[in-house]
This record gives sequence, structure tokens and C-alpha cells, in this order.
Amino acid sequence: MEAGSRKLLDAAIQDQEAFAAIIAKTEAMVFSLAFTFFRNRDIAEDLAQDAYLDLFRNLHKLDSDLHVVNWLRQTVTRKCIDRSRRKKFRPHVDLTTAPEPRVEPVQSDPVLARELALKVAELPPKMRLVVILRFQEDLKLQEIADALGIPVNTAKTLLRRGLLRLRPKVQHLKTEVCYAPAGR
Amino acid sequence: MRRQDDSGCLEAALRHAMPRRPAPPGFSRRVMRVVRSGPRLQPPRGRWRRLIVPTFSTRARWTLASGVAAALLALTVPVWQSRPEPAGSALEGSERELAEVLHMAGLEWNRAQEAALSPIQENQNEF
Repeated sequence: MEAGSRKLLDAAIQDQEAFAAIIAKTEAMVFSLAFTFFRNRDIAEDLAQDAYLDLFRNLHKLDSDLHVVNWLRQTVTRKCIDRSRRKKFRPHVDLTTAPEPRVEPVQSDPVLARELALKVAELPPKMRLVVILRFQEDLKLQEIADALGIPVNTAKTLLRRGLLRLRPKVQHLKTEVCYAPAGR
Repeated sequence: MRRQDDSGCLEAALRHAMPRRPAPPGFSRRVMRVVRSGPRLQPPRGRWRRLIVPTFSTRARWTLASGVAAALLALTVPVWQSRPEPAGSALEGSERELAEVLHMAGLEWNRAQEAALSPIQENQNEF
């Protein structure tokens, strides 16, 4: 979505049916965030649905299409934290029913990917969100801090600690294949 | 240098382990159905709510819930009122026994006091 554009937002405010276009543009981001956080399809779907309902109620408060994306990201992350606080959730990896990833195939180790997904799911909620926003959404530290409502330095610390916790997993598996950085 | 290599490796591995996933099929249709039915309606969560919410309206759900509550009250109140009270009568009996014991103790106390005081009084009279 373009920075200053209000095309989708205005259309959705005027016509309820145009809201579907916003969902189509953002559903992968919203669902992926919740799914990677909880590793549970049902919860991720409920949470994403909640977020869109909230968005529909608050459309008139938003300024631009980009604001819609940021607002959704912020809402989903907060809902993830709220939900994880409300109910101590034991994450489980639902890799058998999960759809195939959309990313282009890279030279990869599926065992390592699975192990890492499990390790990420075991991180504390805020740390997990920082890692997800950094590596799934490819956000900068400032954007992560804005989405979570925390100072940049806190985001930086959480990311560093998260990576420190995850590093032994990579070393443990002694991966011979090193992924080339995606350059994002 | 080694550590940097490791972190590059880890970051790339993380990017691969957490790809964006497409939303489940029909997700946007389901959201739009809720949006059309009224933005105030809470989206149904969980299997049972997904079944109940589209079947009954909000008013019907409240009516159903209050009906169940009234039926439960109508059943429990008469049962509670008509139950025997053995505990109450037992308490009365024990209270009566306690009063008798206290009365007897009081009498004994008075008798003992009188017995103790009488020689002292006799001595005082002698002086």
C-alpha cells in the first residue's frame, strides 16, 4: 500500500463491500503474525477476525492505507499478548495441516526450520513478537518498537536476547547448509 | 567473524522458518459475513460459539439463558426450603444442655463461695 494513498480506506468507508479489498491485501500478514505466535490455526483465525472487526469499527479514525496496515499490525500484536496473558497457552506446531509457505524455494533444511519454529514458539510473548516482526514482517527496530509500544532500545535488547536463545539450536544441529541472507 | 557468520546463518534460517502464510480459504468471506451482520456483533469464537451464534440472535440467546436460570431457581429454591433441619434441632438440644451445665456450675460456685466465706465471718464476729 502506498504511503499517502487513501484509495482503499475511502472506498471501505463509503461502501461496506470494499472492506473485502483491505482484507484481501492484508490477511496474509495478519493471519501469519497470529499463527506464528500461537502455532494454532483456530486461535490465529479468531484473532485475525477480531482484528478486522476492530478495524471496521475504527476505519474513520485512520488517515491512510498505510496507516491501516500499521494499525492492523499493532492491533494483532497487542491481541496476541493479551491472549497469551489471559490463558497460559502451550504452543504446538501444526505443520501437517499448515499450508505450504508462499516464499520462493531456497536451499533449506526442513528439520532446522521446524526446530527453529518450535524454539521461537517457546520464547516469552514480547520477545517472540519482536523476533516474528523482525524476521517474518522484515520490520526495522523503530517500526517494531512502534507496533509494540515499547522503546527502541527495549526492542533491540529483546531481539538480541531472542537471538541468543535461538543460536544454540543452530549450532546444535551443525547445519552444513548456511542460508544466504535474503537481503531484505 | 565466526559469530557474525553464525548470526547471518541464524537470521536467514529464521526468515525461512517463519514465512508468511496465506489465510485459510474462505477467511475473508467469513469476516465479511460478520461485518454485514452488524459491526457490533462479536465474532463467534470457538467451535460451540460458531454453532450457536449464527443459529440464535442475541435476544434469543439472552432469553434462553434467562429461561435456564429461572428454571434452575424454580427447581432449587423449593428443594432448599423443604429440606429437613436436623442440624438446627441438634443445636437447640446442645444449647439447652449447655445452659443446664452452666446453671449447675453457677449453683456449685455459689455453694463453694458460701462455704469459704462462713468461717471468715465467724472469725470476724469473734473479734
